[in-house]
Amino acid sequence: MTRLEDAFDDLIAQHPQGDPDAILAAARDEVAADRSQRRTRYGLAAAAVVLALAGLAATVVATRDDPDDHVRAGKGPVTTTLPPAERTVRVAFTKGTGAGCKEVETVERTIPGTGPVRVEDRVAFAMAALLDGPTAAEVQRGLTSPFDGDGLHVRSVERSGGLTTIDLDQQITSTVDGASTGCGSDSILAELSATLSDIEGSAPRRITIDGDPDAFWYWLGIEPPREGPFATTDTFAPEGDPAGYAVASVLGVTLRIGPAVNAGVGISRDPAASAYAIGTDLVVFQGTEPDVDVIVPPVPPVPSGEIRLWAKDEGIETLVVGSGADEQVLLDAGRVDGSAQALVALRSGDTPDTTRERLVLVDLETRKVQEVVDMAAWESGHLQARLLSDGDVIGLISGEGQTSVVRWTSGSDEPVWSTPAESAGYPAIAVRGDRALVVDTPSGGSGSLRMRPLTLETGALGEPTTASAASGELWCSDWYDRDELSCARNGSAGAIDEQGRWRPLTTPTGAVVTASR
Amino acid sequence: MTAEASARPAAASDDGELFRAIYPALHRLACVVCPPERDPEDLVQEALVRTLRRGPLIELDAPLAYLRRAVVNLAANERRSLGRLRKAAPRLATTDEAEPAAYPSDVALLSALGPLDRAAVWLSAIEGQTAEHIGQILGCSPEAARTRVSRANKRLRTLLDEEGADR
Repeated sequence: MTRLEDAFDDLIAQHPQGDPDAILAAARDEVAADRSQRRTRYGLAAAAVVLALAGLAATVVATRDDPDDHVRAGKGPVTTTLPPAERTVRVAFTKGTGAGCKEVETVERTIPGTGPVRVEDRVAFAMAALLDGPTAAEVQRGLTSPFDGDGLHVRSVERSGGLTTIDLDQQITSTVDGASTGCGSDSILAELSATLSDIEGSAPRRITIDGDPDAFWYWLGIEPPREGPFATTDTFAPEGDPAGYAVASVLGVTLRIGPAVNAGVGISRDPAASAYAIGTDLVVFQGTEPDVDVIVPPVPPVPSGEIRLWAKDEGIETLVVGSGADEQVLLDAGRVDGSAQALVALRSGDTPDTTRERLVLVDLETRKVQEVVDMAAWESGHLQARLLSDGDVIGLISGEGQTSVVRWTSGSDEPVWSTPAESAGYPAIAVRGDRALVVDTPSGGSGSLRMRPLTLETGALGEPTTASAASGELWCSDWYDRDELSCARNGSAGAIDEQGRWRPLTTPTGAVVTASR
Repeated sequence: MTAEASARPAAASDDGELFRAIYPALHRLACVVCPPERDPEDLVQEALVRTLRRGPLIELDAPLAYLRRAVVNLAANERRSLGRLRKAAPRLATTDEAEPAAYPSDVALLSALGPLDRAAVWLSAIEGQTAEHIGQILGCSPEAARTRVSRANKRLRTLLDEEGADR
């Protein structure tokens, strides 16, 4: 028996089998109970209505004018700790069929315990109660809600400078149906507004999803009520041109142009693992098969299927790279001697002994395919690769128990140089011009971000810069601009600088953002 | 599809008989993918509940494969929820964080992998399943499954190397 088998045996032995009949009986009971409490599900209209930005912002911060509103204004000095009597919160749910989507009715919930509670605790409790949805009895008397408590969580509630920030779990975006429909977003905003106003009146509040302040609005299908975080002055764009960013996610591919959040081009609605823009006229991208029901897609995403090319004014076509390969992976794109090229790995074979990987450059205008290297594929072949302007390739290869950074040049099966990456977590390389880094990301959701400069001529790794990378599983794919890396943390995209400062980007969940080449 | 993927006792006439037959394999995978804070039986039962909501088990073409995929999906979601819960707990101060069990080192190595990666290693190295079947359980293409197996093996090897270096 191998060590691996022993380990799995030990793992399984910690949990003796139960009684299948009892498990089945309990499951049947739960299903039966669910059915008896089945609520009126939301019949939300299919047509999405993008609501006026200012009106929505006003909705969220609106003061309730309900005559029986539970207003605490004028009760003395403002403190963040409330007396024990303030243990009741009022949670708003939508009135049932026949009422408008914004019409809500409040019900009371009591915070358990006897001690004083802070305002943020009241908010957290009220939000949790809201996400749980109305009780069966409340449903019977006509209340309904987009929220039904199915795995919905409040991640945190924080108050700072008079602003309360409520951070919701990403799961809400996939669990709550119809949020982006007109009635759905109306109802969600009305319930949130009334519930929170009952506690804090008209105090400003921000609702975020996984820390991203725009994600909440994005989920509702509404333009965020402010300028987006894309404004950056030191991009890779030629002087005077707007910066371009290719965004690949389970929702498809978009090309963002300039600093505005929603300025850009929708390219494809098919789930995508990667996308590379050359300027703002060409985007080459590859699909992925997202895990069903997994809220946060894997990052880096797993590429799958055909590689496609979008050209401005010409639309999308499939890029036929080569026949005979079992698998093709789009690794990068860029300009070599002025011509647009895609870098693709073609893999064939099934076992370590027979698997080979060819790196090829595909001219995106002539479709001519030029081989860079044909190698026996190590365990995973190229994890990542970046195309240099002279046609050489900087690759990150995993194989034979170690990860190495290599430089390939066309026509030679031996690398120009090879440097062990000596990385604990998933490493990544960021290469732009002569700026190259090997980035080690925290494994297991903690630790620090290590950035080591890479000399492209020799492969020498310089002294590392270490930054606190905050919490969460982090993977950085490339430079975002001249000062920041493009990364994904807990499935949310962001830019991170050498001090580890995180700046969220407005993208769908699990997106990989790549600056235009 | 492998024999196990389509496992269904030919004579199973009701859900009880069917579930008893497939339960051991389901339980093993639940143990493999379950976060340490959770009981694998909860995963099995939740997967069963979600499946029964759609109809009887005996109406499924491949009940074991279906339930195993449900278990894997639940485990992946559980892990993420738990991760966020752990981070939110100090700020909310309303949750009791369970102390993860102190496992022997090799089990701890497995626990360092995500549930999908653990499932990939288990299905490939222990059960000897094909990439097609692993993809079926993990909800991805055979190519993606193969990549996941490869990455998970690499991660395990890295962890073993680190452990060796620490000793």
